[in-house]
Parts: sequence; C-alpha cells; structure tokens
Amino acid sequence: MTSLTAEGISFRYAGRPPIFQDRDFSFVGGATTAVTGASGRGKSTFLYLLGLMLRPSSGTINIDGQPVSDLPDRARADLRARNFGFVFQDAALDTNRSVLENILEGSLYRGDDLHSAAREAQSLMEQFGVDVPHRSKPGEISGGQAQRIALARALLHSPRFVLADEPTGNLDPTSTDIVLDALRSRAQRGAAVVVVTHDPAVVQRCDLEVAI
Amino acid sequence: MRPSRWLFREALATARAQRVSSLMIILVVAGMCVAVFLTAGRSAGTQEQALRAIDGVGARTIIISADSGSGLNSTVVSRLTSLSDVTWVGAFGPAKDVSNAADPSIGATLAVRDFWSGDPAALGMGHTPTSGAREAWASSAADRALGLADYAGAIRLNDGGVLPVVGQILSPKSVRSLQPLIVQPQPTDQVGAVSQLIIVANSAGQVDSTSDVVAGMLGNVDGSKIHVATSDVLVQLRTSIDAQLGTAARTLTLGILVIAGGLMAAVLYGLVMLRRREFGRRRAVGARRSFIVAMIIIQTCVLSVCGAAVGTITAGLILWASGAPVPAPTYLAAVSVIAISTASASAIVPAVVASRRDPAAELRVP
Repeated sequence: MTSLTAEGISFRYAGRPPIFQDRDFSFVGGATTAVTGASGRGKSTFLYLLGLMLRPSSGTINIDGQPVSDLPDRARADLRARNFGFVFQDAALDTNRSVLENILEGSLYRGDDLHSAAREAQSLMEQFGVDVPHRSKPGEISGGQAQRIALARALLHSPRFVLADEPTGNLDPTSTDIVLDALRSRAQRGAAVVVVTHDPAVVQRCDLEVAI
Repeated sequence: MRPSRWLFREALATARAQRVSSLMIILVVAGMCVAVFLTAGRSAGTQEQALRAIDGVGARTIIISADSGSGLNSTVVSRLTSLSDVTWVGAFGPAKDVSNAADPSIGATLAVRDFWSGDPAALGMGHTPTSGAREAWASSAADRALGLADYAGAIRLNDGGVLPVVGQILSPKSVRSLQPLIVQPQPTDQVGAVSQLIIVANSAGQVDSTSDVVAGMLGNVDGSKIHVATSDVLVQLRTSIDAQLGTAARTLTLGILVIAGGLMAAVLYGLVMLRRREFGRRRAVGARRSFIVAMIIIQTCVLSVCGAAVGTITAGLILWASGAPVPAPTYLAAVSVIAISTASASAIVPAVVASRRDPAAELRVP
C-alpha cells in the first residue's frame, strides 16, 4: 500500500531552536489527513520535509518503507516530479505563462507527452469548473480559479502523494468545495493526501488529523 | 519529444513570456557589440583600410630583374608557383621592339615580351597559351600608344614577323613597372630567357622570407646579374601599423568585453533574484538543478544572439552613415561570437545560484 512516513525526524533552521524533535508520522494511501497546529509550529515546514524539499536534521522520510530523504538532489527532484503533487498556499502560478502552460509545467520535468497531457489538463479544467480560455494568464482569472488551476497542476499526473498547504485559505465556499472534493476523490483512488490547515471545517472533511 | 528539445522550447517560451528581462539582456549584448564596433571596430576598419592601401601599392610584390646572360629562364615559374606563400608568379622575357603592323607611322614603337605564368587569367587572359601559338595581348596603355582599334589589329616585330593582337590584358599594380605592356604568352613548358620575374606574396609580412626562398630557387644563374627589389619601407610600415593598431584594438576589445561581461553577470544576477520564486516553484514541482542551469544559459544564449545581431546591424549602420571604415565581416562575426560567449558565460553563476534556491523559503507565504 502507498505510504509516506517520517521516522524520528527532527528539524531546525540554522541558528534557531528545533521545530520538531524525534517525531514519527505516517500517511497512507486512500486517506485524507489534516495537519493542524498553531501558527508558527512548522506545519508548512513539515509539508516541505514530506515533499523532499528540505532534508530533516535527523531521522528519515520513507516512501513505501524505503528511505528517500538522503537521496541525492537529482533523485529527490525526480521523485517530486513523478510521485508528488503540490498545492501551495497562494497557488504559486507563473503569471507570465498561460493557465494551460501552468498546468503542464510538471509534464516538462517528467518528460510526458505534451499533447496527451494537454488533453488531460483541459479535462481537469472542466472538471474543476474553470471556464476560461486556455491562453488566459493567471492575472486575468479570479483567486478561486487560480487555486483550481494549481490543483489541476498538482493532480495532472495522478500522483501517489498530494501535499496541500492551506489550499482553501482564501477561497469562497464554492471553490473550497471543489478543491476539497477533488482532494478526497484523489484519496479514494489510492493517493495519500496531506492537507495543512487551521480551518475546522476542512479538518472535519478529512479522514484523519495529525497535530503538530 | 527529446528532453533537449523540451528544454530549448521551455527556454524560448520563458524568454518570450518575460519580455522586460529579455529586452534588457538583448540591450546589454547589443550595447556591448556597439561599443566594441564603434571603438575597436572602427580602429580595425581603419587598420584594414591602411593595410589594403599599402598592399595595393605593391608591398606584396617581389621584382627580380635579370641582366642579359644571367641564365634565368622560364622553368623557374613552375617551381615558384608551387610555393604556398606565393599568390602569383609571372615571368617576362627580354623586350623586343614592335610597332603597329598596319602602318608603322601610326603610334609609337613599344616593347613586346614573352610571358609565362601558371595563372595567366590574373592578367585577364581568357585562355592558356598553347605551344606554337603566335598572338599578342596589349594593355590599354599599349593599345592607345600603338593606335590599335580596341585591342584588334597586329604588331610587327623588328625581324619582320607579325603578331595578331587578340585581346586586352589587365595591368595590376604588380606589373605597372612594365607599362605600356604587350605580351606574347608562352606555355610554361616552352623554355625561354627571362629578364623580369614578378612574384606576389600572400601578404606583405611574408615578402622578406619569400624573397630568400625565391632567391634559392632561381636555378643555375649568375648571381651578379640578378637584382631583387622589394618595397622594404612599405613592408616595415605595414608591419608597424598592423602591430600597433592591432594591439590597441585587441586591448580595447578585451577591456570592453570584460566590463560588459561583468555588467551582464550583474544584470542576470538581478533578474535571477527577481525570478527566485519562479525557480523555487520549478524546483518544488520537480525541476532538476541541471534543468534550471541549462534553461537560463540557453535563454541567455538565444537572447544574446538577438542582441549581437541588433548591435552589429546598428553599429554597421552608424559606421556606414558616418563614413568610417566598416570592419571585415570576419571581424564582425568574431566579435559577435565572443559577445555571445561572454554573455552566456556570465549567465553560469546566476544560473547556478537560481538552481540552488530553497523552494521552501521561496514558496513560503508570510
């Protein structure tokens, strides 16, 4: 079964007190897990550790039981491209590129066939109710639509792990429902979905909760 | 699609999408090229013009005069033609008086000379002489002096023989000393006495060494009856101009490229800092460091090519409009390639910095 685990991880930024010390976490495929905690407790940092963007000070991050946090940068980048889908707090779209190009960005690093990826991207846009021309720039669409575009980018390649950092932070209820439904649907199809949130309504809609 | 094509496509797409930063890179490279062409390039153009002028007045020419009985004959032509430092060899026999065959009272009495060369076309002759062919070719000065009708007619030798004049020969600066010139071309295997041997070296700088080599290849001759003449003063002047202007131009070019390269690196570093969130996002979504480094370098290289083209055309137009000498195309191409290489090399450090951005730090929202 798909699993993403953290074993005995500690992390500290240089010159600062540790954020975690010797903690264990486990996320399994098929479940949506909410990561909660007060502001400044390191929820986003935890997500970046799980997503192999940071290396833990000690302990390991494992995928299906295999330690991956100590792999070389190139291997971790490839793992991110193929196995992870990220939804960032503010969508983090490239404002100079079209919405379709934004969704397709990960395909570039995975070496996917662009034509079939573009068809899938258009299908996701329809599914998420983003009814804008594909050539639109992120500056020409609403915040809710931008976050749904970011969601499409994260889910395009059917990742095994979806990591979302406050994905509904600034969204209206309709957009929030679309995003959460899409994440739950992905979990039901076997992905391990981790959502960092401080919104009780979002926590309620997740299967599990982990407090930091 | 191959990854390299994707990378190239992405670099182009990014360059198109980020118009302001792309325009800045193009302008910096164009400015670099304009600065080089309007300073060192102008100097190089002047240098080339001066060297052409010196070469044009015969600085590359070696003239060997042989007195009667010297033993110098036309077999020397094939030996000297094989030298790699030699552009052209022409041997001229002793002068024989001729006059207009139609009416000796028209025009003057001139000299016709046997002529041997591996490349008679250099004097404008349309065909290689054949053994036994009796024909003469006249220069425009000889044509006028003899009163011929546009290089047609005939000339009479003192011994009574008549040669038809079949065409015009050119009179490049190397043979001006023999004007007004009329020649009777001879095949190279037809041996005859030579009174003037004219050798054109590849460059004025090779005249000294070529003269020595030629002197050793004249064959069995009486050295006391051989006189070698070169334009020593012109050769020295040419060498001096070449060295002084060349050094100055190279120093100036190097200085401008170093300064512009530093400026380019600073501009690119600034642009990388402006785009750090983009690079952080790319890394988070799965881009390898090598992808980001290659993308930035390709992007800079492509934009530099555009900048070099813009700069070269602009500088060329300015030089042309101001009447200043325009450097040779090879110089323009060389400076453009160096400018593109400098700009691309300047992108390496900013590209590596970009590839090492911490995605977590860049994507964090306060």
